[in-house]
Amino acid sequence: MADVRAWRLLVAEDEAPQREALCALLRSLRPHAVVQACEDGLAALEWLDANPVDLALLDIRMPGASGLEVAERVLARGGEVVFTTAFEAHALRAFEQGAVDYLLKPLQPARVREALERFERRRGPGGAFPSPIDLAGLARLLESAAPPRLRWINASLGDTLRVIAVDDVLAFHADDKLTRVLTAEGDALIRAPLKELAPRLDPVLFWQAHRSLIVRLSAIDRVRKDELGRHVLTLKGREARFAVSQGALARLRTL
Amino acid sequence: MSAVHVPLDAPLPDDVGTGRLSGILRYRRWPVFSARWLLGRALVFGAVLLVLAAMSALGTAVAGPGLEAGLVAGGWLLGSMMLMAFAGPVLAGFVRYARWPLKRERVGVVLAVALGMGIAFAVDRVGSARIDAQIRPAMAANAPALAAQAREAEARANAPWMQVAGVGIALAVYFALGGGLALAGYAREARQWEHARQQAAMAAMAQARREAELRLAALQAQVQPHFLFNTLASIRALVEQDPARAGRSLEALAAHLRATLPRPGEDDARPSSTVARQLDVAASYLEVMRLRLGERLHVVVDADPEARALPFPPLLLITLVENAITHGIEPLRGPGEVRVEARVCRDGDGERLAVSVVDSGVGLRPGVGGGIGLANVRGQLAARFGERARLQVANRPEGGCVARIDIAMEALRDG
Repeated sequence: MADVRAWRLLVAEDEAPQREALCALLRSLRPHAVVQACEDGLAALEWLDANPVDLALLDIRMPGASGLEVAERVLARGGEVVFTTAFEAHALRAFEQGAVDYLLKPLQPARVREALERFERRRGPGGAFPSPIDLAGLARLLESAAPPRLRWINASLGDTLRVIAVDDVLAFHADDKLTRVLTAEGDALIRAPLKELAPRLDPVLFWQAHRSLIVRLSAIDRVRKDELGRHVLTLKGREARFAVSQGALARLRTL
Repeated sequence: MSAVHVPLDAPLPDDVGTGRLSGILRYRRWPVFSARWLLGRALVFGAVLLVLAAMSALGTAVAGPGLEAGLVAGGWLLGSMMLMAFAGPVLAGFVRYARWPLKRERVGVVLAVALGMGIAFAVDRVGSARIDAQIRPAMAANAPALAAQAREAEARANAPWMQVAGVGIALAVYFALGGGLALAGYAREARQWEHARQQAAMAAMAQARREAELRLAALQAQVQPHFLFNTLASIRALVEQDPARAGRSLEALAAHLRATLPRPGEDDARPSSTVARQLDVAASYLEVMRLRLGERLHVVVDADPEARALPFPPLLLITLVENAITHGIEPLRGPGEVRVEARVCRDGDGERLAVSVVDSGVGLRPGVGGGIGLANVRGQLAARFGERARLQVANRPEGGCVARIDIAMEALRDG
């Protein structure tokens, strides 16, 4: 009899009514199970530090730590996970591709019971040991396959952190390990390296003028040769001169 | 597509008229033979002919026949030339204003110009005779040498080949002066007008399609499926645990859907709304979230009556409010507040509407992103109001984040 086993179950869900309803349902389906409720991701991580879990039912979007972070800890400790989600088309695709079990909200008792039975078959005699879940791959799928085009940058301009629209950026300039973001209202520093930003910028609008410089084409004042025969670029309304590489110049001519 | 009359009481679109005409040629922006076209052409021709007539009068006066004879001859020259230049075009104008079927109009316009040329010929005859009659006797009396020269020239002109050439030149002059060139312009205008009309129809179709797509996207964006299903899940759980709260949640969800979904018959080509209605959408959304999150969320909506009455595009405010919940409050452990404000501000930056969403959530974290929500808000503001609107999103010194839309009042009124 599977249902006599005292499974250690964990429910992580930030909305209290849903959390309580799921716990009550699990207790009624498996009266011998020990059901632990956690109100957010951090609480779940804290619980997992001290307590082993056989099966965790995790909401993906939670305060503190996401369902994926909690899942990583559950799997590391030999447990299994079932995700719960309201509606995320890309998440469903990710779950299907990753062969990850999931439940749709509002939860239907019959589906929850089936998920429990699947879990018990895997755990039961002769059950196939669950194939390891590629959480990193799942996270990538959840973030959608290709990194989307860059649209905004959170960075400090003056003394406050604010959202800078990429449409307002004049140029990105590599500055040691950081990238300096030049805008009409001032400069900001971000941690992302230039080569990570480059593929996410619209090539119609931005031009990589040098290993260390990506510039908005419409912000260029002029490109000319300096006294030593090197090409230098100036931006509209700015004094600074930037080096331009030969290869970049050739690419510019084909634009 | 059936051919349609060119409207005669409006200038032609730029791609029909011959480019951007300015100065004295501005009249050519109007349909050929229309009243404004005739008036403009009359001013141009009149000015040129007046100069010619003045020179002729002066020449005649100096040559001998005297000032009075010169003035009379000049007057005849001006009058007859103007009649030659305008008999055909004015008749053609009458034809165009009659709004006959297009085929008949084309024949009518050609006949009118031809008739005008006939009149021009007759006028030329009469006018020349009058001028001769005016000048010749005086010239014979005062300047016999010149008169003899004129007679010799006339004798040469009576040679047959000169007569043929003379008729040819006269026809060319009548044609050019009497509206023949305008006839070519009339033909071109009809073709180009038809072309422009087709282009405009295609552009309108493309525009209608874009707007339909926008409306569809807006409809999909208005009620996020994630929000809807999560709310249903919450109500589903509350039905047993707290039926009263389940009831309130259902009412709040219904109010939100009512405020959000388009009302029948209201589906305009360009979606528009008011601050008051967008505040309702935001407030009903926040009420649903408050019932879901319980004690965690505190909501304040605060707006001037003056601001509430202003027009305001849909989907902007709700996007900012959803961001505040999703990125500010939901990741926050413990209670949080969302405050939505709309005010009319008058200060150094001029009179403007300021709509802001302030949250006490986790705040922005440094980094880069590709989220489409803010980009859409920015894009919609730019498309509607250009430079006269802006969106700012920044962390607050006391924690949390503020997103604020500023729109100049005059832009709101035209937009």
